[in-house]
Amino acid sequence: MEYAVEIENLRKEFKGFTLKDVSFRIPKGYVMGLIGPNGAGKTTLIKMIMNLIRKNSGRIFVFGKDHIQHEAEIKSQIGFVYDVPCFYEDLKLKKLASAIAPFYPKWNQELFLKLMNEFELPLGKKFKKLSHGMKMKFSLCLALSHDADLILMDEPTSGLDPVFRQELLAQLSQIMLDEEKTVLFSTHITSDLERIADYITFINNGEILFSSTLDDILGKWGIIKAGKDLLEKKDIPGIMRSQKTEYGIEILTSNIKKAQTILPPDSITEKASLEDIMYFMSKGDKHA
Amino acid sequence: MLKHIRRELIFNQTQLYIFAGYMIVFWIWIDWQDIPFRMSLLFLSFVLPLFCAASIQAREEKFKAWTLNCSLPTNRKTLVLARLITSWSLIFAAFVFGLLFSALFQENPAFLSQFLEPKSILIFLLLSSLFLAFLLPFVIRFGISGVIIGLVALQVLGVITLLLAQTSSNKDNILRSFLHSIINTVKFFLDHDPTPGFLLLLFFSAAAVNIFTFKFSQFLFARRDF
Repeated sequence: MEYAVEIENLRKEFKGFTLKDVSFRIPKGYVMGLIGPNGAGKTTLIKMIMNLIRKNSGRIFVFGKDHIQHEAEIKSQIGFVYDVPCFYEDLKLKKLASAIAPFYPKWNQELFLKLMNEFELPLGKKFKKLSHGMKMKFSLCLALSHDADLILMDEPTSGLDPVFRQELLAQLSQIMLDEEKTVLFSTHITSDLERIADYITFINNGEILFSSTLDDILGKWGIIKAGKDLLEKKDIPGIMRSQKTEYGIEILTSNIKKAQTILPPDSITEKASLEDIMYFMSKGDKHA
Repeated sequence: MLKHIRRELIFNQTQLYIFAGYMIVFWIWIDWQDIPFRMSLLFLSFVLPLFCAASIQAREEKFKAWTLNCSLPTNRKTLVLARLITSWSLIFAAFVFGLLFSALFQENPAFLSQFLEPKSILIFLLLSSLFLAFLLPFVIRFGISGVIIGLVALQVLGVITLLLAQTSSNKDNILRSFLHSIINTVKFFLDHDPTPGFLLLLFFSAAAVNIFTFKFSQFLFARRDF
């Protein structure tokens, strides 16, 4: 299998936060959702791929090439959508685009104008006059106009109203019709990913807790609701986290089918959504 | 490199208009106040780099645009080189624009022609390079607020130095000697005959300072996280 992004033992130490030897890979042509609570390390990770933040150790390969040694070449293949758009706000959109376009050998002006039209973005408008949603759309528009093979998006739907979010997700679904394109999409709005992601990587407190296919996660992971003494009596397969509630205990397992075979009849099982998983993995009690 | 300079000029076009206005005011002031040539040259050598390098950086910081610039398909070394070349392009454009504007109303053509002498241009180049060598790495490392703090600190230090030099009973104290050595160095350059050897010395000194500025700025910029 060919990989668009390969990250090996990536480490970055800040005062009060450490990205701890992170490793994962994104197969070419797939969408990976990077989920985790605020401050988990999602933005740091994406910025490190873009070499906006330097690594302390580890390696990053994009399309098989070291991201520092082949920095310019790699970046010309990346469309980057920032969490907070950082353009010169007093400039008109056409000026911004005219300054950025020459850097991309595969810049497609026709496509750019088409997307601007589709997104209802006026070329003659100053960036500061745009709403947050429109700013994100402009950012996406630039990222898509140079035929990028890898699209990195850092919280693109954060702060957007549902209409904008749906539009943006629809646009991403369109992109993914081209099976050559790879997307890394960080978010804490997990429902966005259930529509478009192929892989999910969960990061919390600077650590990758799991990285797997979405189908695998939604098909195999589940929540068990049972009496408080369940954990003392049974060894639950695939137990990831648990949480005591007023009525008993809730357990997140990565193997709900196997767990169901040993559960007492009064326990309840249900499929876990990404939001449930994120909540349990962030707040639940660990088990050895 | 051209696309980088073009990018810098587009991103900072508002500043260019402000700068042009500032240059007009500056030359009117020189004419109005009868500022001597040497003083005008010294003043230009410090004001132009300050305005060019610092204002571009200030805008970049204001809009957090370093993320945008550093995410373009290029490397940080090229970005620093582009910033240095753009700064010099703006410095020379402002210098020429100011002279042309001043030529419209300046009654003494000899005053203006002094600015166009090779020695004047090279002294301007060297002094501006020295100031840029301080400014650019400082801006890259500490940002525009760092520059303001740095300049205020230098000013305070200068005042203290002058006060101490004035009040000290020892006429040969180290501060006084330091100040004199700076003044004498500048005087030496300004008074020296414009022999070919001297002009070459000025040129190569300025080139060496710029190479240092580039290397040091690149070293600092490569170590920044955005």
